Amino acid sequence: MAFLEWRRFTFFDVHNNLDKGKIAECLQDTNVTVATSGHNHVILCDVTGWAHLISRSWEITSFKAYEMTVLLAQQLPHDPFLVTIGEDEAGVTPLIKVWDWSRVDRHGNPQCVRTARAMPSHGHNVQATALAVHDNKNLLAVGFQDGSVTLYRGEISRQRGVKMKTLPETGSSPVTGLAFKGADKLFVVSRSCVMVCWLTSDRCVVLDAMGAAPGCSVLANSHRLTVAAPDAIYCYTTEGRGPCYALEGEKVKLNWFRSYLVIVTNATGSANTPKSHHITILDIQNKFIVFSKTFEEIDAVLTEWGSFYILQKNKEMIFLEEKDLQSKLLLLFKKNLYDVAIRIASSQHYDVEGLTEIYKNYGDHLYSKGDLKGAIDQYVKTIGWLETSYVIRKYLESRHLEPLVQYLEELHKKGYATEDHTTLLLTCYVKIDQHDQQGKLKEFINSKDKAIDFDVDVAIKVVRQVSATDALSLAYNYKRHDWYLKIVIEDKKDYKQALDYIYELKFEDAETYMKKYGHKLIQHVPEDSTDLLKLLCTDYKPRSKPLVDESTLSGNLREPDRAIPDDFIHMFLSNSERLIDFLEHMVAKDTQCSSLVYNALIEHYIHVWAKSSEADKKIYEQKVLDIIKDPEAKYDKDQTLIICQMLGFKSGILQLYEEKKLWRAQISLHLRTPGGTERALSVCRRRGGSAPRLWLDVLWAPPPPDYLPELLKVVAAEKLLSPILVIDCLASTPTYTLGDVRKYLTDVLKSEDEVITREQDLAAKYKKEIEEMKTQIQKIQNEPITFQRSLCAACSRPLELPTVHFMCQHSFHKDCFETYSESERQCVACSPALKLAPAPPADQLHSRLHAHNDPFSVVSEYFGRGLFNKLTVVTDAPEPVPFSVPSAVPSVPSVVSVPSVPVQTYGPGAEAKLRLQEGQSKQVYVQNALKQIPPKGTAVIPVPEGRMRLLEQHQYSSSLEANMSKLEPPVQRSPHTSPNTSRMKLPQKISAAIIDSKNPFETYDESKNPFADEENDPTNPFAEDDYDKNLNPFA
Amino acid sequence: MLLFSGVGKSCLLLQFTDKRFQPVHDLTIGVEFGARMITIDGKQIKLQIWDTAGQEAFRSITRSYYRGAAGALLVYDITRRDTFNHLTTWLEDARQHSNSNMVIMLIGNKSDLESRREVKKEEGEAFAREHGLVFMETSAKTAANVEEAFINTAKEIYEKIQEGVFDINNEANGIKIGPQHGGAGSGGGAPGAGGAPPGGCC
Repeated sequence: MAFLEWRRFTFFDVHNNLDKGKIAECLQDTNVTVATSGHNHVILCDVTGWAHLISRSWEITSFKAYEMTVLLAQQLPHDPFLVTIGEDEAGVTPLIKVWDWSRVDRHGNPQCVRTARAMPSHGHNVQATALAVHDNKNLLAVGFQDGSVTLYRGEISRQRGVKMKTLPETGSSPVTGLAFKGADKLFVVSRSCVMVCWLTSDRCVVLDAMGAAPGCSVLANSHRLTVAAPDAIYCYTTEGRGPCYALEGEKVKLNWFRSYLVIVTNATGSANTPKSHHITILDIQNKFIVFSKTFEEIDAVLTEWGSFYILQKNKEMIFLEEKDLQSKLLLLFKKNLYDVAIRIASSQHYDVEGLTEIYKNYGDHLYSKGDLKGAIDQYVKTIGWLETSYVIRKYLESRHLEPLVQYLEELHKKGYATEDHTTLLLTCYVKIDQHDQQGKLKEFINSKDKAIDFDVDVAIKVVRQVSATDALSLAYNYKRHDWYLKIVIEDKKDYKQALDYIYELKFEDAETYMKKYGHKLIQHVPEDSTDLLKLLCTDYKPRSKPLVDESTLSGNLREPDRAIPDDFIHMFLSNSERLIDFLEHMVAKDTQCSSLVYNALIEHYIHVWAKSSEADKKIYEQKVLDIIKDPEAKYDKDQTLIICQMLGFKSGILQLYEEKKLWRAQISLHLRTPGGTERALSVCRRRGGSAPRLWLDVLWAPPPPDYLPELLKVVAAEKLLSPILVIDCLASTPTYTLGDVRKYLTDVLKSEDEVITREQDLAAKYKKEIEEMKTQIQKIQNEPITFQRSLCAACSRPLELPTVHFMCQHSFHKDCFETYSESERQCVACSPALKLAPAPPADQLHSRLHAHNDPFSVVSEYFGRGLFNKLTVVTDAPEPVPFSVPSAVPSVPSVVSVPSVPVQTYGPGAEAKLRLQEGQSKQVYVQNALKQIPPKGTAVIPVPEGRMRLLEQHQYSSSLEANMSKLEPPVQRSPHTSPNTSRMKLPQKISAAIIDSKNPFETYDESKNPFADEENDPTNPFAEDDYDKNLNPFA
Repeated sequence: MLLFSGVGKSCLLLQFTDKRFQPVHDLTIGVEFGARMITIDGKQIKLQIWDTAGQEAFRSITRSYYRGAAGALLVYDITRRDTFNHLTTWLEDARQHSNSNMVIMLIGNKSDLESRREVKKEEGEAFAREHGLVFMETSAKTAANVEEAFINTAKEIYEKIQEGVFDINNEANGIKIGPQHGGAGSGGGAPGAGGAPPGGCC
């Protein structure tokens, strides 16, 4: 049989009796003449002139269309229009009727919107044999028995405005089929030929001299006319013949649905059996038979509602239900027809995932049959969806390398390759090359245009393990500088080549890779590397670049690319010579070098100096000193100093000490070197004026006896050290003889002696004065005083009453006195003499102590001015002190009032200090005060802050004074003179509490101690570590 | 006569029209069809190519396609001597059923399978000389000479048209002047020749 070759499947299920006999009941024993479908309805017309409209739910509407019989009918696919041709009377021209079944007439039947006579233009009465209605409802063609075709133009649903014409040259054999192709072409099939008529030009072209039976031509896919001949199915386009499908059998009907061609053939059975038809459904696209079955005699094949319906002669409706794609595929899988499955799936726009699954199954199938290459072709199609390891695992055996390579290459081409894939691919290449020297790896490496998209870095990594040379050329091809250099340096150890390569690079790359590999390069090819670095750090240009490029020519001054030398210094490591070479070059070329450059240069100079011979030492020494002295050189002095010290580069150290004004260090260095005393002394002489301590440093060294006289002279002259300490110091050195210091000692003793004598004289003088004063006091107290001045001390005019007399023998006019006096208790004439110089502020004590030559005198002065003393002594027993106490009652009021002055002076200053030291929020301060007070046995009175501070001040003062009073009994009491006695009630009590306790300092509130924080206080002069104990008079 | 198929006609056609190679191909049942526009002498020419089934069973169908063809490619398989041996039969058949002026080209396909070659190139050349055919060896797989085979055939036809051997007004020759009434037009109104060389087979 000829159609052995068509593959056969059964993609359709047969369902019988779908309409539950409704159609049979409706048609009863008439015969269906024509069946058509469209617009969701199936229309059957029978020989008795009835038309039956069948809806999807098998509801039948029947109406009488013609009196006699319906010959032809066509239902428009998208409109409720039915066009029929039928006979109302025998022998009369058949009528075309157009039914609009969306409207009903008064009998409930579809309305007939148009009636026309169906006849060719020559007017002879011939039978209509074919009907075609264009979907646009404007064209209608009728074919006749005699071969003529009449075309009706105009809206088919209207009675008027229709033009009718007969097409020429359509032959004379009966027309069996008509089909519109577009709006301008009409296929005409007659018994003897196939033609196409160009409606616009009234031209008819014969496509083939072979006709077809009625119902055996159909327009497939709305562009290709398919005609069934006994030996094959022929296809025609408007241009001519197309393909043909060999399919034998006497065709009865041809139908088209989606991509299926439904062919009804007469079944070839024995003559005895009842007539039967064979249905074949051909999938044109995929070229196989999807259904084939013999039925009883078939009246019509209908394609509506998405599938096929077959109406048998016995009025039975058979439904062919297409299987869904999944079951079709399953069917195919069972037969291992994966290629067919793939074809079907892709023609039906199956999703990619599903297709992948099929490919995979197909691949698996081929693999299991041993067709590894075929399988890989399928697996390749799964790339991107199927887990690659699934495939790769299958092919890992070495004999499967080639398919695996194919797969991996595809993987790379499609961009799904990962690092591991590249690695595997390259490994495969290597393996293949080992076996049969195909040079695949070389080919791969040299594929410049990157035919295979792969991760170059991974590739280089893999290739490198096999062949460094190949990896190198790969790196070169893809400009993987890093890899290139790495391989050249690490594998090839061709440092020169690496350098040459770097020379070719752009500045940024050159810099980066020099930073990376510079260390190794310098280690192996120091000279060349240094040259490159020099270039890199001054004005780098790739070697391949022309010296003068276009931009330079056009006047653009190129900013030279330069690297920072700092980044390269560490690479030289131990190669000081090259580093010096490099750095000298840098310093010479560029004065803007960073301190690092200078530091390194100095350091390495010193290193070289340390290693070099005596002759060279001088040169390097000079070089170092030149840099150190160069004010432009931005070296770090401290660091340089450390380097100098580490390597014992003395001249450098001295120079640096000089620069940093570290005379003492300079001296100590001198002193450490044997015979350096002279130099130390010379430093002292130079710098001693501003830093006397240098002398002492030398003294403590100790210096050789020869230098002692000069030293001691300076010490004595400048009073740098107390003689005792000098002796102490000198005594610790056993080599000194008394002779060395004799002069000094005698000088000192002499001067001391002088001082003592002077002091004694003074003391005697003061004693005498005191005696005198005492007698005078006695006199004033005990003897009458005669005021016999006749002149006013103020205006020097004779005294006139009223007058004021003072015990100091000054008398004034009352007016004069009142004019000049500040207080009525003081004599105007005496008060200036009595007025003490203003006490220096207390807070200057430390600075003065520090600055003064004789700190002790400062302290004594402060004592003398009562700054450490609070003379407002308050006792808890305020009994009146008798005047008779001789020492405590000075009769001169001015004297008595003196103590109150320091109190005032001290108070504000102390408070300021307090506040400065506490420096904290007032809140804290108040809290402390509150906390502190209760233990002292006082009632806690909420005090306003202002008062609290005052209170605090008193508290502080009183505690001090309490302390004082313990040391020496109260000698001066003048409650009556105290201006603020009345305000002192609270302090008095506190004071009492303090006195009651054994030691007032034990309970002293630390937070109020102005000195408590001194350790953290940057202004504290005592915090200095280098405070010279020699200067401390209390030491 | 035996059934001879599988010499690669469909593959040649596919390679020429779609530029792809499909190793697995169902047997041709009936006649397949392909078309491609080519340019000869600056003229657009549409080649309509029918690819006929090689099996004897379809001889009656394929025969009808000889008529109206301007050229034919007679294809044999260089790895199967039997296909070469039956060329004469096919050639006679073709000459008998077609226009006597039909251009016939002899194609030895599967030239990529050199290792399995059974028919020497010289034999093919000799056969072609003897019968006045043009000879060429092709490979549908590697696309070697495929274009040339079709285009050379088209050129021969074109030359014959120029010489007036073909009557372009007689459609039985399989040559049609580009349609003047709209439809698929050729560029610039220049007349195009629609050659129709069916691939014959032994």
